[in-house]
Amino acid sequence: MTEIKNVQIELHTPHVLNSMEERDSKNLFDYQYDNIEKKGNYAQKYQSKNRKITSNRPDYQLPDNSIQTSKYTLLNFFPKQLFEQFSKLANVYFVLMGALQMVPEVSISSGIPTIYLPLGFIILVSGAKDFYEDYKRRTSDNEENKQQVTAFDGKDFVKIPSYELRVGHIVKVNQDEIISADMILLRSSEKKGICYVETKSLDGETNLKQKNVHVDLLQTFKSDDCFGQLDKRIILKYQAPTPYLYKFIGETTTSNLQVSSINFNNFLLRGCNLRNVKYVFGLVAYTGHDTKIMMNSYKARTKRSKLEVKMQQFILIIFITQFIMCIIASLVYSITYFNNRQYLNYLYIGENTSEYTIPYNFFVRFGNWMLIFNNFVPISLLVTLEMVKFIQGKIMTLDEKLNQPRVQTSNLNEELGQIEHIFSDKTGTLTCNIMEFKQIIIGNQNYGDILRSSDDYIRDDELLNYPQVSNVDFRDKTLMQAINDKNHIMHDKVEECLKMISICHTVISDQKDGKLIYNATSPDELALLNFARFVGFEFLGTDENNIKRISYQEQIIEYQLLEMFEFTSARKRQSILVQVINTGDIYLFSKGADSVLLDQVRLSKEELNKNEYHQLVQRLQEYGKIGLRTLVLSKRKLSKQEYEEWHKRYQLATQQIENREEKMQVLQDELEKNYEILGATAIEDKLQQDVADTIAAVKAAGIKVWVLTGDKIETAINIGYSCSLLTNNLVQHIVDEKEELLINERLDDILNKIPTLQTTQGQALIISGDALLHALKPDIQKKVAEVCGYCEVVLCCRVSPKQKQDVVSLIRGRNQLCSTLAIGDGANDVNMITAAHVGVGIRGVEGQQAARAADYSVQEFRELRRLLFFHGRECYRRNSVLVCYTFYKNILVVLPQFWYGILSMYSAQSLYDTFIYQLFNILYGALPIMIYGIFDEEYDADQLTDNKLQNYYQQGPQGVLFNIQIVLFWVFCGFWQAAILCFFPTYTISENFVENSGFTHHLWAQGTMIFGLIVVICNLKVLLFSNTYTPALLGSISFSMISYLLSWIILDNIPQAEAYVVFQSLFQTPNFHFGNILVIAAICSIDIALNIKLNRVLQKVNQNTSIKTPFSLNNLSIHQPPKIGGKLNNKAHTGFAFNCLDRDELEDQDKIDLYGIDNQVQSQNG
Amino acid sequence: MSDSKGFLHWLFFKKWHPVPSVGSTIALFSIIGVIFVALGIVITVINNNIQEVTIYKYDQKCSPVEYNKKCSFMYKLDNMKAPIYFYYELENFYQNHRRYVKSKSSTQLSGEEISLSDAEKYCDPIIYNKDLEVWQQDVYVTEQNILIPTERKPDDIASPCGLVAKSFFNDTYTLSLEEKNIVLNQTGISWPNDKGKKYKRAPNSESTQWIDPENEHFIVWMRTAGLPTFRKLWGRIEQDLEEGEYKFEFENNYNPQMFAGAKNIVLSTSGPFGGKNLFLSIAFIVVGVIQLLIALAFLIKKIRAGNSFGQKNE
Repeated sequence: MTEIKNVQIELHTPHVLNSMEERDSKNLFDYQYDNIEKKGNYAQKYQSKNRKITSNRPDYQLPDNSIQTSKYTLLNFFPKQLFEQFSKLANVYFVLMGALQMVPEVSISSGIPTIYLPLGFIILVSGAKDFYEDYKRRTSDNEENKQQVTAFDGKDFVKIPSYELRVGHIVKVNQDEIISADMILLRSSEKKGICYVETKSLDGETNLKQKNVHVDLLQTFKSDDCFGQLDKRIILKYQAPTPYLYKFIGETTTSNLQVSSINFNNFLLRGCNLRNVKYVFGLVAYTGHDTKIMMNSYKARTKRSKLEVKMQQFILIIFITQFIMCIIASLVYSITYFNNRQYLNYLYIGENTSEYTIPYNFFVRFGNWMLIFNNFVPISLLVTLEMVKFIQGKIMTLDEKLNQPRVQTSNLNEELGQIEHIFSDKTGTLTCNIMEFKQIIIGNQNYGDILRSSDDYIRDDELLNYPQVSNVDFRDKTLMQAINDKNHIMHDKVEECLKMISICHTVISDQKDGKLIYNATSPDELALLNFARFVGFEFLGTDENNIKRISYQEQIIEYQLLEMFEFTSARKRQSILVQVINTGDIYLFSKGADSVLLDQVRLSKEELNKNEYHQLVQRLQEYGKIGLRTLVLSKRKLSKQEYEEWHKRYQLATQQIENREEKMQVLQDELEKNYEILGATAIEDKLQQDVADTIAAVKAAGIKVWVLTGDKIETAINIGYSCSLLTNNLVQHIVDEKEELLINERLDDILNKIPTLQTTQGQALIISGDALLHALKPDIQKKVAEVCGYCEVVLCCRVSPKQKQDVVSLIRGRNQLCSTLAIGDGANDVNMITAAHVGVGIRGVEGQQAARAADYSVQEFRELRRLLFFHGRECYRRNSVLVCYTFYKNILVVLPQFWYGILSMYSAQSLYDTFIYQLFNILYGALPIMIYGIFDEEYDADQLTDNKLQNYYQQGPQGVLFNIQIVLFWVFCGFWQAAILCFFPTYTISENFVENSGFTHHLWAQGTMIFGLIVVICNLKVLLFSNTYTPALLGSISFSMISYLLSWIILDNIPQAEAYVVFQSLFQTPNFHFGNILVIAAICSIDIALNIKLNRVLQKVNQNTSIKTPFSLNNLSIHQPPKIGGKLNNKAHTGFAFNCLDRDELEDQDKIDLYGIDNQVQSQNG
Repeated sequence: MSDSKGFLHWLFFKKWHPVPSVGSTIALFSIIGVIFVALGIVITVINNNIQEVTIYKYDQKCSPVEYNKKCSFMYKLDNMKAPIYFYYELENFYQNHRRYVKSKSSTQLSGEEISLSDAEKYCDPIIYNKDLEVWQQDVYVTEQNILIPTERKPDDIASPCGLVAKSFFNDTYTLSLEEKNIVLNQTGISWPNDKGKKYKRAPNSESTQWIDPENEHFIVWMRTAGLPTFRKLWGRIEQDLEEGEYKFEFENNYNPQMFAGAKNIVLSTSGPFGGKNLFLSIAFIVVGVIQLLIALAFLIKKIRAGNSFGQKNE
């Protein structure tokens, strides 16, 4: 890593080709490519060396542009798959058991490795699953690799498949195409060399980013067909591939030896979409897996649910128990045998044979016992669970109340019922990603807040009379009246305000198919402008002479654009200086945050206290509370002199080299003063349906919700309010510092403050991405985690995909037992989705990447509620029971043989027919529990989804249904029931004879009776703990018992079988029937009593932890007075937010990424 | 609902939610408890009406104790009603030992010849004639339990082979009252179907086998018992026995010292459910009482907790 850093420093030094030699060299382009290391793995070979390439001379040694995310090829599938299967401990165990079954001395199945059958089945199934999944990945890879791109082949632009692209190719990208490799921008169809890209798939932000051709290159490539010319060749030196999304360092050398440094602003990333320009040309710099997006993508890990992980632990415990029991049994045998060997002559063990000795006996019996205990570690569990989960997944997809959810990892069904943390993306997940203009305040008049029943409401049919625009939801006729009626009191104010809206912006207009189209980098501006258009003020465009035109009531008003002061997050305002061409008046129009603009109002103190101003502030607070995004509009009239005097100074400032920015800022500030407030606008970042309800319900269920967004703090807070995540009675802690020290102090501060607050008050942490970069460093991490622990709500703003992942990992790392769920819709959420325990993708407008990477995908955020509260909760409950039951069932079938050891000297005599024994887990005890696992329902689905009567969900996160106590309880039940099952039948029939014939029963009759009872008890047990009885459940239970009967009847007629005619004879024995009744009644009654006790204990646990803040969250509605508290950081929230191209932040990117590197190094070391 | 989606929907989604009330649970437990206690009492009464006589260690009753000799002793019996079953009982004999149980060949017993490898596989360690007991090596025991001297090669596969067959119990008994012989019916003492099907005589039985597998004492012996103390039926007395001093005469062939156990004779009459079974009577009463106790516990809780008890999560 240090090496790379050095190189970067080298590149940063001024790039002038000093030596004369180099200057004169005609052979500038005549060099051998040397971009790869000779040895090493992929990363060492291709990603360790800085590169130097010439345009149009592809480096064929560097990898091509193909990507491969699939794990296997046809050739290596088999060995790789085998390796993977046998790296699972369970599989190795079963293979060993199979081997043991083939040792004649030890075998209890006459040397046939019967266990290989189910094992083979398991391996085959999971192998097929892997194959299928990999096949899907392969096809999607192929699709992407075969995408056509337009590349320059030396003479002409030709279409080639994407994978053939090499570093050094010149590529043409057309509008709306996806950029297929990382490239530097050479030329754009736009004159100034600007182009716009949409980076949704990288960082999830939907606003456009501006990229530009480096000035020097703009000079070099002057036409679209100059790329073939020899003198237009350039050399590009740049750094080795790095995963830092916002960083590129390089330099170009043209044929006339002009060296210019290329940075991120001249760099296009793979996966972005080109927007707003017809086409661009680029020089490919990184291909395939070296591209930023690929280096940022993480291989999907195989996820396992908490239940499954715990289950593995319990299996291990059970295995150890088995091991110990087998050792005890074989020790007891070998010692008993040794002590009584002279009385066991009828066994004819020769004194000189090894069988006479303790060690031999011990080991052989140990093998016998291990095989008898074979079912103790339930091989059937894995198969059953897998099958049940698969069908559960299928049923989920068929749920009519969900919109065709997709289940990609049915392994995680029960994890959905244990979620403690939800990490949610904002755009497209909580919001529809649609800005809608809602209300406007002009003067002291509010427009837009209107009831549907009102006369002034614009009905749907009337809406057709207005211009058809998007992003506006404004139904107030009173505003139209004010516009149309020249004598209206508000007329002038309204007109002025709307004119201001329609010119104060950075939107570019465009004609497409005869229609006026706005190209906006900011969705807010688009909404504003469309609103102006809706009410009759249509912005027509800006021409070459910087004249802005608007059309209003069939007249065209022209404004000369004088200056534009851009929006930055520090300034929080955007201003435009214009001169009305007709009148010559000069105005400064500004829009921005109330906190900034209202401070600069040209009013005396008394006036400030006036009603009008207060109304505005109060309105803004109300807007803020319901999450509307507000902008304050203001103007200032300038006299000509004033302007000219200022303009001169401003001109001077722009020509300065030193401190130019600051000086300009000072001058800008000079103008942006003494405002007259025109009004304020409110735009709704439209939430998806029922988001607020869902979040409220999820929070009430005790789940922590974190929102991770690429947006700014203001936007995030706004959304927090609108989806009831934030309320005014939560104390907000905002961490927005950019330096480590400050952040540290801030966190300490917060930690000190928290205990002093009222306990009733909730906390919310709002942290920005920059702060997060530091906060995720190991030493601060702990503090952050601690603060987060206190907070009900955490909002992370301006976070990159990598950071989203880091945040998830932070929580995962802090508390291993805590289950996390990440939900998102864009490609930028993929990392987070793969990092969380459960990833949920939203199949939305932003494409399918997230949905594809996710474990579950839904159409809307609100479906999460049913997914968690009904499906998740029930799957957790059912699967917990299924696992416990399977343990229990196998204990029940194995342990009677252990107990019987007491009566047979622990000589490892099996009680059951081998054949029948093998069928137990396939035929007699498999189906009912599967039906239970799929169809059982404790409560009605809607009642659970509602989760209001009681917090039904809580049992999952608490892990109440599957923990060591519960498993031990089931194991305990297995033990005592097995004892009853062994001894009751034994003494019932072996002590006795059948009436009228005097016959006695033998060992096999006894075994048959025991086994029959096990089958009955196992199946009845399912009936006992089922909540619902379906015909299928009853049918399957009958099926299990009947199939057992049938197989005995078959066996009864085979003379060679040990159990020949046993069944018949048993049925003639009255005591057999008495014994059955006795055993069933004894076990069931005690079992019922114990389970009632257990359920009451569980219920108590549930009640203790039921809903903390019952659904009082409705009090968030606008009309309720704000609650006390929340004074600490938040003076009442006013809802300012504005999404816009932000120059400051673009320039900050470099800094940010240096931190990123540090972070990366540390995380690699750690 | 089932109309539109048909059978499958009915099968999986027609649901019943049976939630038993506390009252019905208590009632159920008490009813079952009462029935069980009653059954237990009935079985105890029946048990008490069954006469069972055990003559412990009958071989010790001869003096001196000698083996492979005839011997007799007197034993006083009460009145007993026919049918009376005559059992021999062995104590501390692990017929359920793993090594013992598996040491036999079902194929051979059903009258077929087996290969040497099969014999080694199934009958180990008793494979050849020479591995058999000395008395078994040069006789043929007929179906009627009569010994006929024959000669077989010691290196032929023993038939029947295996430990179970080798340890065949070969004491024989006669019973008389005042010199009047009492018939011990030794036919029909094995489970029907065993004889002739699972146990079948080989074609040249007399020359190849040391015992006829259709010998019913043999069949009874071959059905390995599940407990280390077991009874096996030896004969049936189909007449009522009067009170009196009975003479038991037996051929003392089987030596219980080799398993440090005892051999007993058991005579038992039968009740409607077969022989005496103390276990069942006790178990029924105990289980019944447990159920009554559970019912009582619920009742107490219900009274204490009032209505809230047993209401499922609501």
